[in-house]
Amino acid sequence: MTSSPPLPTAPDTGYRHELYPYSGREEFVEGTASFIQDALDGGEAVVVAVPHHKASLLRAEIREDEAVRYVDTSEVAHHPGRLIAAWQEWLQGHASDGRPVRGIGESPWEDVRSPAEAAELRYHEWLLNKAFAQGPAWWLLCPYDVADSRAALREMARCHPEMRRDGRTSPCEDYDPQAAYAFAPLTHPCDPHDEFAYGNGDLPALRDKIAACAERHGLAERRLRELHLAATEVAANSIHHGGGRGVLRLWSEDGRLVCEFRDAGYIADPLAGRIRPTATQVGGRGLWLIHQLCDLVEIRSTPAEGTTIRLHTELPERP
Amino acid sequence: MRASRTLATLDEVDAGDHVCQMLKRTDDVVDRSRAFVADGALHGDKVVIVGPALHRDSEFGSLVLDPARLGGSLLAAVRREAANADREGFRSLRVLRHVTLGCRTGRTKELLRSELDLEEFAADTGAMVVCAYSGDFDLLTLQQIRCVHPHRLGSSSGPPAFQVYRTGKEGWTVSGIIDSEGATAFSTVLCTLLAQTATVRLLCHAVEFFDAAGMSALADAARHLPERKVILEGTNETVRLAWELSGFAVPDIPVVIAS
Repeated sequence: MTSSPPLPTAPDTGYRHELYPYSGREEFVEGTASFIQDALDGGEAVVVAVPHHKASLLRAEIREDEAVRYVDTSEVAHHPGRLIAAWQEWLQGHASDGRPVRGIGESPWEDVRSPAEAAELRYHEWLLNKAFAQGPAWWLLCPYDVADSRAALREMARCHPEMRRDGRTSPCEDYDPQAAYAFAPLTHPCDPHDEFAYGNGDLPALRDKIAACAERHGLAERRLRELHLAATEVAANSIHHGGGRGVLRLWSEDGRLVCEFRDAGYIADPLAGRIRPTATQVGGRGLWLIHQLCDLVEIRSTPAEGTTIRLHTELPERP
Repeated sequence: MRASRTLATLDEVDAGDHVCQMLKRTDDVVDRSRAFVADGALHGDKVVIVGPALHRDSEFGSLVLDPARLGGSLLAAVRREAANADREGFRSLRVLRHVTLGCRTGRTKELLRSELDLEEFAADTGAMVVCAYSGDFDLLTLQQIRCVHPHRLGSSSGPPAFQVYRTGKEGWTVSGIIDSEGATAFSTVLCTLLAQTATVRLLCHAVEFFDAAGMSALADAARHLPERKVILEGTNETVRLAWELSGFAVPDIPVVIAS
């Protein structure tokens, strides 16, 4: 399954997105501190968005001040669908005085909660090229520790136009700005799973179906309401834009409830739902809400195969 | 406190109830009216039947208020009848309203306005109002009519996805889920209320959530007329979170969402 290609970026203008493979703490600090120092020498501001323990290492070298800001990523780090909007807010908050800005962004790769989350975090890296292609110039460095998984480096390289090695930047050979994103196939539903075909007028029954399954797994009150809201948005999209009907499948895996919706519609814009809506825009809030309300969202959509959306909700631990 | 409920038969109608009854094609309107009049006599209630001229020549001709011949609003007429009932020593007023729906779409707003008037009337006076609908129901009209009746007769269909009904003189209780299937109906109800009142208080303790379409309907209705305000009280954290996330929590949108 593929998605449309990102717009190409020029190497010296616009958005720069650079992968920095490193091994161990010393290389992390060495490479990122050097990147920050270069920025400060050039009068640029820097936003650092890395896991807390990595931020602590960097703070020991470069303190936070007006030019360098360490942001708290804990609310968004494990939710790939929320990260582009987070970067937009961090940049807006820190670059309002017109200074050029750089960023350092590292996802908590060693703490990912599932293979699906890791895959969506990589897809987020690819989407960044598209999200910022037309905006103001800025430069994002993405440190990536290869000590744990060198095999995954190539997949990361496919998402970054440039790579930094030994203090020098060069184009990523694996990155093709014209190529569509190659998703890994979605996993098969775990058995047993429930299935429900829905259409116009079926939203209450669909919610009942989800409630019955969710309550069996201990999901209730606020979390169930949020799942109901997210599911309502996806199913309404099927009814209004996806051929008038769809199929819901429900199952649990690895401590999560998964709600999968399939319909015949096509979501042409891979950034749909990743940008915060404004008060005056007409429509376009449904996918945004599901990214904000669910723990993980997987969206696969092609004109030929239609759309599959999976909503993952973490289940409460049983006593 | 008024609460939504389903009635098995008209015998269960109580003071302040505003009941929606959907008649089947086979139902005999005269039979239904006769039973309603008999119940009124049994309980010492004054009965009026609001309906077309066919009733005027029937056995209950003296009880009929023909909307086409009222010379004023329906609300004014039933208020007058309630005052008469009180003066004449009746326990209460029973109103049976017969409405035959056709294909005229322009009539929906007028119907909704009158239903909201009757809802307020029943809540404020304790009168019993039963609205019996027959004819060709389109889905949206049906939805709009059902959602402004807190009470419904018969077990064939459960409560609508959301309901709006009067709670004392303080505001309007909203319950259920306002999603894309109910957003248009909700918008029409809210615009109708805002056309009459500058500030509409919605008591939302029983609202589960508004989806994006429901929230857009709320925002658009609040902006529909100048100098209007909608206050939502008793909202849960999901309603408040979704409103904030959707970008509607801005001064330009005159909606206050409170817990």
